[in-house]
Amino acid sequence: MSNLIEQFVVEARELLQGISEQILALETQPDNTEAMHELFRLVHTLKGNSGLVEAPAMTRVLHVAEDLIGAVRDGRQVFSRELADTLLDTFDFVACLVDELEREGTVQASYDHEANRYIQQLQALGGNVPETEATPSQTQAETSAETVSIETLPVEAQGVARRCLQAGHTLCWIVYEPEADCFFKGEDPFLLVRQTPALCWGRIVSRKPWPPLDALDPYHCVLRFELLSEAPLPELEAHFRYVADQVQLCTVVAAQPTAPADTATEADGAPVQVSAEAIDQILQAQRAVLDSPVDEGFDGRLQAVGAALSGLLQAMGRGDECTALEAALSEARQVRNPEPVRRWMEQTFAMQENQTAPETNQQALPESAAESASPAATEARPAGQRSRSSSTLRVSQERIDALMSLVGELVVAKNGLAYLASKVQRDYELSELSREIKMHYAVIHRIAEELQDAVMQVRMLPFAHVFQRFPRLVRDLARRLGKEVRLEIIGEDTEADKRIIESLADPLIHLIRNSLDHGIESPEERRACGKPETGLLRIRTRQEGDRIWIEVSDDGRGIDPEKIKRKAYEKELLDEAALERIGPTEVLQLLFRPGFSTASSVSDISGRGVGLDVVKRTVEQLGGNVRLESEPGKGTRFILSLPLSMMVTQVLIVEVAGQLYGLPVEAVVETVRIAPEDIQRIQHQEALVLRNQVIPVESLQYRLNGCKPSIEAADTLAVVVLQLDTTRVGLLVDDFRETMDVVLKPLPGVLAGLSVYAGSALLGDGTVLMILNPQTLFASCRSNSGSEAFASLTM
Amino acid sequence: MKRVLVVDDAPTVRMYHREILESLGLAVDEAYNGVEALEKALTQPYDLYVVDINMPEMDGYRFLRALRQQPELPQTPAIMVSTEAADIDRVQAFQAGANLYLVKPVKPEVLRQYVQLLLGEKPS
Repeated sequence: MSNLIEQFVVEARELLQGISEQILALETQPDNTEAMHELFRLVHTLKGNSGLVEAPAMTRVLHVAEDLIGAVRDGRQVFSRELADTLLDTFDFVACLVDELEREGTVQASYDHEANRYIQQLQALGGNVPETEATPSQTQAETSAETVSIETLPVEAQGVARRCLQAGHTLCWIVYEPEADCFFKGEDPFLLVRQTPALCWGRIVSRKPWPPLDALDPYHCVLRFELLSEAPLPELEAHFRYVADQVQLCTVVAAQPTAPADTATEADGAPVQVSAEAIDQILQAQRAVLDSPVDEGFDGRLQAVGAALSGLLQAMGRGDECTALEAALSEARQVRNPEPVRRWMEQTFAMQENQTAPETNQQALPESAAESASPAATEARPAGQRSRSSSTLRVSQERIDALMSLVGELVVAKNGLAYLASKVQRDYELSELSREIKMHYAVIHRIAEELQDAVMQVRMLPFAHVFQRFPRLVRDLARRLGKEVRLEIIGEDTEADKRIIESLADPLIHLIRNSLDHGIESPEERRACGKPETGLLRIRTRQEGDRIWIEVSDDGRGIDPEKIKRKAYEKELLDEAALERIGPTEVLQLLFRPGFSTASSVSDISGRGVGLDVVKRTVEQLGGNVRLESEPGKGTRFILSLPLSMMVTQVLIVEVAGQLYGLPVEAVVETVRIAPEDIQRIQHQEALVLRNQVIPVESLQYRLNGCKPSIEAADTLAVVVLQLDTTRVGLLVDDFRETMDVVLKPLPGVLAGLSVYAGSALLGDGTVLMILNPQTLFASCRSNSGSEAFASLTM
Repeated sequence: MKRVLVVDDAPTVRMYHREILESLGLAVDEAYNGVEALEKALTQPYDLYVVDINMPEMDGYRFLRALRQQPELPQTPAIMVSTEAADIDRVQAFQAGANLYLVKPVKPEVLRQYVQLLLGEKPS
């Protein structure tokens, strides 16, 4: 059944997401009936599903929650902020239970206590409990009203139980699951069980299969006591009062085949005979169908009843009586009256007939009530129901990843053909063959590109995927900070690669927290500044070419550059000289330095000193960059730019000391060839003046292996100008080559620690190309001695 | 092989019923709501229907009413499965033409027993 749990978990998470969306929608528009009905339907479905897995605590909580929501829907309760809070908390707890279920395959009874707390909270708000449920302010919950059928007891217990019941005693089925750490609480479950009043049967089983002996923790209680007692319920309740949340008491009744399943008393493997009850149930049902007032479809019903009855006869080994049934059916069809079938049933099942049929009195129910209830139930549902089309496919991430890496290999292998064509031409002078290879190459190239596109499309997710959590996050944070914030999301339909979308969740959450914590002011402060009391947090995404832009902006107090400077000086990130020279744009970049935090006190929302640098690093790992703009008093804006997909990177190939390296073209501003004398020394740094701009120059070879190449000897020098955040840097290389599309693979194992490289790629001829990461390549350069020179040069 | 159509909007419930029914050696089809169920029933007759009540677009009651009004279809038993244990739901189910009413969650052994009885198979 593990598939079932997997399916349940997936669906439950979807439902919970929907539930939280509807609650938030209702909070802004409490009279939105469509959202109310949708909320009820979602909770109802979730409750129904939870009954299919081993999570009694979840079912109980959901039951009460559904009731409360039903009360609000029917106008018996008002949708208040407090109610929304409690519901959200409750569904968070349910989400925890779902996680637990995913991990363990079951929800342990140890959650019952917590569940009861939520149930009480809901009840306090008016979630009345239906008949079989616990009554308010009673943690001994499930006790009195619950019954259990004798047939669902373990086989060993059934004999004893039957004898007791026949003797006319009341019988109680007790399931006691002591807490795992009960031995440390001074409890003695065994003694307690042995002292159970009027104990007539009992056994001890383990809740889970026993672990191997060496893994067994004897101080961890995994036992379940199953007991039968003839004592009256109140006495048993009193006996178990200290462990009430760990005990389930159910009255045993003779038989009740359709009783809702109670997981605690599940009796797997108990053989089911053709019970008289089951046959009786079916007969009663057919009678009810025949007795119902019929508008249309009389023949259809009659035929279905006939099919059910004939099935029943055959199952009972009385198949030969089917002819009589057929005769009764055709007679009924002719007279358009079910009477002949009814008569036939009476004769054939005379034995069952004399058993009382409690359900039959329901036929007296007025027809109109039933008729009117049914259409109402359907029409009340929102019209724009998203119907889950069965043509969509759920595919595991690994399969898509495997497909993608194959496509990557195909793209690389394809490049081999181009290489082969030029080799045939050059070394063997077979231009005819070379041309044919090129033609084939063109075909494969096209197919490979389309395939790559198709796989990319599969991996595309809309930003809504991560944004859907934000309304709740913003609401909760704002409430905690005592601020009023309106969240505006624009462009949630923009799509990007799944990995990018998912990796962005944490950085974006951090930016949101940052805005709420540091950016947006308290309502009083805003009023004093002449701003509206409700702050605005806006998240906007858009696609431009093959890049995605994400803006997180607020209309808060903005960032004061002087404050940043002071802080940076205190933290020794800047010296006095640099402090004087640094420009307003560079100041903001300081915020992205590791260990920089402007919050004067560490709050639990943001400002733990880790944060913006992590945001920056994550975005850069995804091949993107972050920019920060701020205007004191007006607000702050973070701008993230990311590639659409991470499959293909365009690189400029450069040569250094006979080796080829790739540089991501996003970082390349231009390539220039200059004379050696164009390079000048300014302080300790070599630099180049290009169109009146001073650009510091570094040798790539020096960066990589510490050897300075002799630049004087060369006629011209090749310099790649790179854009790093707000500064430009010239990178001296031996030569430029072409730009090309490559599939970037991260470096494996220990090599991953070489942060200078973004990864490697295979070239068409099979050689490995190392792709440089310009950001980290110059990181050390900026943080030590170079920083001063940099600061002075970029002025 | 006998065929059963499971009609429920919750995939989890469909899977749960599917596993139980398949353990009886039945072929199982699924439908998301009454509309889809009716479409499937009209293309291919089933020996048994296991139907939820609350579903979008067309609920279980309306589905059964519509099903029972198809003259060209061989009419076979339908089990209505619902979380509601109230008598009113039971009565409405029978009025719509259900041949049995079970309360969710139905225990595997209980569902198995009823399905076998309705399909005329000796209990295993």
